[in-house]
Amino acid sequence: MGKIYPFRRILFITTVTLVFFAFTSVTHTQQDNFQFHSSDKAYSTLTYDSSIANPPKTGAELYKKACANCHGADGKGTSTTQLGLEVAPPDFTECNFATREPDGDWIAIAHQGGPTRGFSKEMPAFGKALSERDLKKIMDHLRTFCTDDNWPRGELNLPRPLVTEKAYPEDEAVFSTSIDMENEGAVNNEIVYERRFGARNQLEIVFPFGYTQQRNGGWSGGHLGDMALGVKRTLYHNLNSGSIFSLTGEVIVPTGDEATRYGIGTTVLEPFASYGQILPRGGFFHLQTGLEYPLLRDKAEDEAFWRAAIGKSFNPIPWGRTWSPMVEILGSREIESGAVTQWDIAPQMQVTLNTRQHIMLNIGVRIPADDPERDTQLMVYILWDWFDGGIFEGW
Amino acid sequence: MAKSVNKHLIFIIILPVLVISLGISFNFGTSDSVSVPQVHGMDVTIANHLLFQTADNCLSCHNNLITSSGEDISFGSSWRASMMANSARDPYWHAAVRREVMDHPESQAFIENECSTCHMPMAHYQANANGKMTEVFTNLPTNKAVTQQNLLAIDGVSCTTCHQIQGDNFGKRESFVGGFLIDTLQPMGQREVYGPYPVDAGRSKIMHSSSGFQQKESKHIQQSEMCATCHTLYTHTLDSEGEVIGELPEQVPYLEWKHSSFVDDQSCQSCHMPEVQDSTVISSVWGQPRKNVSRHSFRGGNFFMMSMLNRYRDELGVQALPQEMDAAINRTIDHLQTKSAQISIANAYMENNQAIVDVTINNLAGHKLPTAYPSRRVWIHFSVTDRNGSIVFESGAVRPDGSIVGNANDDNDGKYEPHYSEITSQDQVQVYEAIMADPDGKVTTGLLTAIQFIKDNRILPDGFDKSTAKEDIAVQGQAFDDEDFIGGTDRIRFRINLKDIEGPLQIDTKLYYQPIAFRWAQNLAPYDSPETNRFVNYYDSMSKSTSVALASTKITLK
Repeated sequence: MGKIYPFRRILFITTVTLVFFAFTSVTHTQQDNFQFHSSDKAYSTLTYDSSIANPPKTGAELYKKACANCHGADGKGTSTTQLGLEVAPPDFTECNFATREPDGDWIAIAHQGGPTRGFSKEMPAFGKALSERDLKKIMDHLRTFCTDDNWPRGELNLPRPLVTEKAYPEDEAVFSTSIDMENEGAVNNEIVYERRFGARNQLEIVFPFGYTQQRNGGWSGGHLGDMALGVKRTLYHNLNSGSIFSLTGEVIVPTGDEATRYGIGTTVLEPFASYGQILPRGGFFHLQTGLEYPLLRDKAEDEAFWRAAIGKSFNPIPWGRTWSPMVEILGSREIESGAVTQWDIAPQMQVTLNTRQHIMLNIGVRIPADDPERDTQLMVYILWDWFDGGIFEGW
Repeated sequence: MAKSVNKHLIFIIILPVLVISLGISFNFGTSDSVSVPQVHGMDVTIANHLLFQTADNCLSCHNNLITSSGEDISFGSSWRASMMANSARDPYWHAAVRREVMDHPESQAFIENECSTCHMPMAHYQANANGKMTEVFTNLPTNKAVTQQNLLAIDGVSCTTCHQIQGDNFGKRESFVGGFLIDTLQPMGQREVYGPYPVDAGRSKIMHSSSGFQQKESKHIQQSEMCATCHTLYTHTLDSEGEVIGELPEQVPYLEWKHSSFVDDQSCQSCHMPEVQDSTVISSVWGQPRKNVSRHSFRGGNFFMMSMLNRYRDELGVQALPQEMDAAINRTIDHLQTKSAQISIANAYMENNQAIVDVTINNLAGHKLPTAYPSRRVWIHFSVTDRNGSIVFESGAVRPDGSIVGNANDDNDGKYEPHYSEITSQDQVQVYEAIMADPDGKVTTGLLTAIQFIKDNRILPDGFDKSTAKEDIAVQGQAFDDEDFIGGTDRIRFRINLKDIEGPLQIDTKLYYQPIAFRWAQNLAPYDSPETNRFVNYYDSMSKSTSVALASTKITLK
């Protein structure tokens, strides 16, 4: 009887996921347009300004006529002295800036103006002056200013699941919390700091701390757990295929107090691979798999883990916030004969909170699928993509 | 076990539904960022009260405007080097307002409010719309601007001043003295700005999104009446107790133009904002070619103040680049020397040991020359040189300090040169100017002390009939009875005694122009205030270049 429940849960989750996708596809009218972060209905309503006698045809011509005044014919940006602007236009030739965001975000700004993504009003809205086709041509030209193909494009920066690591090297700060919802109470927190270096690399530092409920009903904690230090490198990325693959090496050091259960008392090496894939119609898929090697075997066992997430991004209101429902399937197993593989399922919803869309909330539950005795956890994170600006900017 | 599983099922069902429900309601509950009644992140309360934007909102798109012949007609850079853009930075204006305030301290608030109308129009209307009087000196110095009101003040006569003026009261008395109408009801984001071209719907959002203004086609901004709103200025004459006792038509070039033959042919804009012949774009951001684009250089005559602004640019907070100011100064001088006046010698002959030389001045402008602010003067520098190269007669030589030799007003602030029909002595100078007097007939340069002009022989525009001119534009003094002083011209005879002088004689005539006459500057010296002291120091430091020759001619008389 006990073995039946997991299948029921998986069946149920799958059903819920399908409902998500069915629901969101109603509002999604883009045809297989994976470059766009969002389903921008507004694009389909754009019309070309037929009053222009000899309209520019190529992306370069369109850019020169519509953009070059401020952004410079060479993409480096015209000086503020010449323009009278307070903020200098960005340098499109700098790949570190120019590759970060997907075409859809840039086009949203060009079409609706800077404030639509929380940037300066000095970036005007081209409205109906430029058609969707024109904007795409301009974007294609604009993408030529960065000539270094090493930099993974922003489209491959897929929404971050609650547990599964994504393959994109990112500048992010994430504050996440998981709350045990059954049995003895426990609240585990993590502050993750990720800093990109170079085109493909990322440094990651994790500060865990938590609180646990005592037998007398009181709570203790607030202590630092076992910190982790990791380095990620993207080995492969291809926008045309929508794929990105990275390897990460992480060291978990015993900074936590073993006696208070905030540390396991040994250093753990954790290599893992991450894969991201853009799917049609705003969909995406993550896969992560790796191993944990504790240096002191009497403290912990070797363990393998598998994590996958599937989701989809959509915008109910054109140019508005982005919603990304996801489902994660999480598996882990100690590497010894007779060990039990543990499976969890985590339905969740990520939503961008501010106009600039660089502050995000994700909330979901991590449900043990094989063993109902393990605790279900409520999981939440707040993510700050700090490369895009301060935490109070762009609201 | 079963109980626990049921609990899981409840989470599985309820939590996703809760998340979706919460999210959707959150999304629908908050307005779409595009349609929020804010203006580019501006609080709606501010938007409801903000009437103007500073020129930097317009400059970035209306730059890099190059004609097919390669001329840069960028509106922003042309404008920012003009007197219009620097109306609030003008150190002479600062000094003049301070002088009036010191003369009439009880009327300070009124004076500052009145003077800011045209020199700080955006700040003035913004303050008045909020039920406040406008202060001048609280917005100075201009390079220390901090608040939005400061920034509006120092932006002078800016893009969204002129392009928001409505034409409803154009040409009427109530439109003068800065009595232009702008809509004060629409919030920013719905405000209209007027331009002469049809609005291209496809492009209209570009400007609206970055400026907060909606474009609207209307040709009224090309009418002279537009300029007349500020450049037709009546000042109130105040007595010693601050009571209004009269009115002075301080500057009325529009009314002079209305009484000339130019009225049917040329507008203010046609001369001061000359059009580009070829089609050219008016926006460098997705602009389309337009015909008859008006330059925004606002070329006028005050080359001297432009030079002063450029020289003391840091102290005065000038935004235009030095090379832009230099170009504007050169444009102004070229305009003066090609479009303002001609001088010629109609007759020259010897009679009874006297040289008789008839000099004719033609006014090419559509208003009096000089016109507008009464500090401006034009005069004839006439000289006779003998065969040895020695000057044997000279009238109207300018000294290095900016004064004119033989000009009574420069030597004594209570006197002035009359209008001459004939000059026979070196201490006589033909100065074309407006001399103001107080109620007692005493000569003054105090605008709010003056109640009348006791001399106005400024050269009349073509078609101007002095016998039918109304009092506001009337010829005053002896010029009225001079039969050679008529519309478009004045003829003056120089009768020079040349006994014992050997010819041939070289006759040189030049017509000089000085925007700020020596007396108008020096009358500020007794006022001990930062503004007056500063201006007098500036003037003295540049006094050698206060005037420029508009035209010249010479002949040899045997």
